[in-house]
Amino acid sequence: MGKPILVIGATSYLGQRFVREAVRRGYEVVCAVRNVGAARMLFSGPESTARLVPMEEAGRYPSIAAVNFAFIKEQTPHLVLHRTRDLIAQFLKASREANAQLVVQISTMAVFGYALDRPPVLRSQSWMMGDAYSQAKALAERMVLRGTRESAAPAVLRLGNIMGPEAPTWTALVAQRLAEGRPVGIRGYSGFSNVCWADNTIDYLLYLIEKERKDLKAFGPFHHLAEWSSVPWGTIVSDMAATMEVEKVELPAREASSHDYARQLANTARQYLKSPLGGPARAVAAIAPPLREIVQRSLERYPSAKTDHFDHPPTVDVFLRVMTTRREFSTVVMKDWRPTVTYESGAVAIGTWLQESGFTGTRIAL
Amino acid sequence: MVVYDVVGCGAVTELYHLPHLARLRLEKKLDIRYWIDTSLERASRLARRLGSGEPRDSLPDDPEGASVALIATPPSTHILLAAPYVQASVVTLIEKPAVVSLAEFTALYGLSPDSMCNKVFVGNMRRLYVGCRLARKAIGAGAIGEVRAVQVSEGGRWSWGAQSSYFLSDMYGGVLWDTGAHALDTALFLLSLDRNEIRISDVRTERAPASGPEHEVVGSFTLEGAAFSPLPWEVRLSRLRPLFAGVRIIGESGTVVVGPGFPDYALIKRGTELHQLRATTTSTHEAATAENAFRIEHELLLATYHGTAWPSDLEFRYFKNSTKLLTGLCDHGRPPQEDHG
Repeated sequence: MGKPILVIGATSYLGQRFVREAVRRGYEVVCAVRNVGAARMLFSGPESTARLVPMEEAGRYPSIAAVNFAFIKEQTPHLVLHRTRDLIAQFLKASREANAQLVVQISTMAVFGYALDRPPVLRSQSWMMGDAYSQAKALAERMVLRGTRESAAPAVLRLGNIMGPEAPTWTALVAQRLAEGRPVGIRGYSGFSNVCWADNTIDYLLYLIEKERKDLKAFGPFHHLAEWSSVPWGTIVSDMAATMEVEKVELPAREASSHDYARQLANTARQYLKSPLGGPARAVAAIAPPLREIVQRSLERYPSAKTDHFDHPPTVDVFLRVMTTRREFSTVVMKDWRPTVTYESGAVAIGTWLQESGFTGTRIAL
Repeated sequence: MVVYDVVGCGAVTELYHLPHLARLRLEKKLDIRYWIDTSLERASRLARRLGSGEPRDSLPDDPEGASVALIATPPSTHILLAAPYVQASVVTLIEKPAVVSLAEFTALYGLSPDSMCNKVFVGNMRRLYVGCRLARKAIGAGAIGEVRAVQVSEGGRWSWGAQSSYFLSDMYGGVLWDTGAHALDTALFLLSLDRNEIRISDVRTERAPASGPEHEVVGSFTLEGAAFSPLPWEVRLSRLRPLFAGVRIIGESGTVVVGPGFPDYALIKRGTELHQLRATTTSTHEAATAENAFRIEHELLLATYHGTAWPSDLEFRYFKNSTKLLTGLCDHGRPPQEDHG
């Protein structure tokens, strides 16, 4: 029987690949999932030997390490934070009951903002970021650091933009945007890609799991991984576009206008109104229907920044903001680990995947 | 006051229809008579959220008491649940796919006293998208010349919080009926073949798993009809992994590409060049976002009830061919059973 690992969020892209590789390397993997049936549907390959259990049973299985890939995708800001607290509390409870010696929270460079609004540093981040996703990630980090018992080592692995065959955002969505002629950049703004390759990430995680607790504590809890950070997005996108035989579309650069700031203000106002802090404002709006009507109509005119509005500069479109960042998310990992997959070999793998997944229009062979 | 019976209180109703029902109720344009679900708890929860409507776990004896019925349940239950309302001439919206066989299509059509004219609709909302409608016009106007082939593809990792497990246990809960119902219909719509007589032949499919609701489908067939040359189609669907998401209509002088998103343009690919075709004006009955599309659906229902509706591509009678494609791919190459009744 291999060493046991507890995984939360195993049905995520990275989680599933981690489970697959861990099983391949001989670990015994226990995956705590919300919906066992749906998880079984996704786990049809070699990873199917992993044990799937409901979340509430996760702690019953002694594990050497507990890894959390899960995060809340809820759109309403205060619900994101509320449910993140519940999720991390469950994770910590399970890791304690399982007596995990290493507790790993998979996090993101986005705790520093989407365009790395602040320099990425190896310390806790404030959760008052103004964006529910980043806030929730920062909150999760803090809970794991504070909630991991003294006898275990906590680790927060902040990842850059995850690429790999089937990676939903930074591979599939980029390819989809290319295929549909949607902007994948801004002229003159080829930013740091800050990419981490999925399989390198998994390799690093499994490396951490085998490290001595004293070495982990000596290193500190924060790990940053974006081993391809210096490869520009322009290069990556051009390589993908060449494989797909399409021209990439880029927006012209322009200065932000007052309209953009109004949109951003409206988005912030919307998030505020929906947050716990917005209670007094909502109460006022509730007793003044004309006021509520005005606020609602104003907000409807300026849809959330989470939607794509391609005719606006990076201040609004999150996707393009990330792709045009001028800050590098440098890798800070334990010194005797090296990534095995280089950009060159990863690009070949991406090219193969683009063909197999229909992005190149290659005919199906039945 | 327009009163709704909402049949099916799962994720689709809660996430997509409820916000519009709530808004329209605030505007005093509708109210809810019944929330109906096999789970009284689910029905009660939505009743509490909206602050109106009585929860039930079965259809009422008086379907004619509703002005509008929304059917948002697993596809295999649609005909059973929609039939009483259709028969009572109630304005009805059935989530896609409307029915799961040609026999059901014909049966439902035959139930309507007014032959389904303008009162029953199907929630294939991609037909409302601006870009989709522009693409259809462009193809019809010969922008890519004669159409030579069709590719339908869509895939993504399952992350949908369905309330029931029908997607795992019901043979009509597979990716073909779920994602395919949108994607295949979009392709037919783009070609303006949603209303003509069509036949399919040379069907080949590979489904995984082979038994039970499929999670992945790869298939091909030939579409034939009186008004066009035999057209080869390829279909690729998955709910385990991302695939290119969209329909490619390949013509002699270019390819129209339509994704499932909401661009306000039609995309024509010629070589490596991508050309965007945009309209100078758009109709208020065209959707720029998913939220928009659901809003338009409810406005259509209300307008239909009040007798002020516009001609809509969502009318049930325009979905026979979609049903034919779905059943053809589902039946592993056996021709779909035409109903001669």
